[in-house]
Amino acid sequence: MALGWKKEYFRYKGFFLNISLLYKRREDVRMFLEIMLSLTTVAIFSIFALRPTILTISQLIRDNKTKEGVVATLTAKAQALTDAQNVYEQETANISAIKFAVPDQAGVEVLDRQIEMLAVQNSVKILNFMVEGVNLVGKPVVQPVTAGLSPYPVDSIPVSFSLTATGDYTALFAFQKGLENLRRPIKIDSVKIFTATTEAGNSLNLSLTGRVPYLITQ
Amino acid sequence: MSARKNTNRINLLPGTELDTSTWGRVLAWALSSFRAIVILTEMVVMLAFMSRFWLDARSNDLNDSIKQKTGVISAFSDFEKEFKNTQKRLAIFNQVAAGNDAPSSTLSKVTSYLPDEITLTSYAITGSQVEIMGSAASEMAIAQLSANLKSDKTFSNITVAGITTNAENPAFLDFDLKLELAGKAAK
Repeated sequence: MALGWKKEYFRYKGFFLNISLLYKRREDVRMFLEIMLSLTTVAIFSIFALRPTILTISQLIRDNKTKEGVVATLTAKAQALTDAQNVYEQETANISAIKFAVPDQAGVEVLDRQIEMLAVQNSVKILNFMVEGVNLVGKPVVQPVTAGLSPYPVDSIPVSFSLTATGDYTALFAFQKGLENLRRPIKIDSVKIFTATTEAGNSLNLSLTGRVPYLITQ
Repeated sequence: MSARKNTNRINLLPGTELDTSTWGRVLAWALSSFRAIVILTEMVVMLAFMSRFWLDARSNDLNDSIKQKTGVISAFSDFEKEFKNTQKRLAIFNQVAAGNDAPSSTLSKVTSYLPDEITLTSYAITGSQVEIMGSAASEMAIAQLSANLKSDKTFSNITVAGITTNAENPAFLDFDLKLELAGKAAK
């Protein structure tokens, strides 16, 4: 058994020594060996050094390109915000008007005051004024649009109201026109001008239903 | 005269054993080319390695820039919200104001077309539907009103829903006229 491995050992030793001798003696073997070693070097460099480095570099280049895009977008956004702020500051007066026209909350009391003032200005007597669907506490709930009525703008909640007023024709007409031109825009859904018979006699009445919007803030 | 010495010598014999055969020459060429390839590969590796530093530095710069700009934009966040809300307000106002065909202007038009013998008792607008009720001294007056309204392109589908004798004054006719606002009918 012990002789077996020694024999093999000497055999392979002989091969290696022969190769070494051949390498020293024969130039063609030396060159082939050098070619093999060159190829091995190139392969090792390619697989273990070049490939991961190139992969990492390409990944870094891609990342950098994405980041450059993000930086460009952020720069544009920052610039746009600066411009917006300038415009906003220039339009402060108009902005307070639009905030009044489309408030954050239902602001029924403001609407009521405006209508009452309009009635006084036009010598019209308001017989009734009714507001529907206003949440006093909690998150406002968007009511589904009543059939036949036009849908309301996105991001807004309408406050529905109805009123009846009495007066002479000219006064009622001016009152209606005033309602159409209120600073809070009113979507008038229906208007009826009719004569009503009461104990005091005949009177001309105006019945109106409409909606005013307020903003759903984030 | 002594013979001139020729100092320039040309040795046409192959220098090495390999140069004697084509195969040997190819081998020699391959060997020198592969050396160049190895050197080139090493150079590429070194370049790649060095460029990595540059790319990392650039990446860090970009990260810093993103962080800085994000901070600036975050500082604007309240204003941005306010500005967007203002834009929404404007959109809502425009939509409501633009879609509001003033009923008073329709009433003005209708009254301008009224013949002298007609008195209105009721006038109603609901959406695109308009209903006019009144008393007329004659059927001709009602026909005249209907014709006048038809001549205006604002109105369409003008129909006389009913004509009855006035209960209090039989000399007058009560009428009920229905029409549609042409512009709003499609909405």
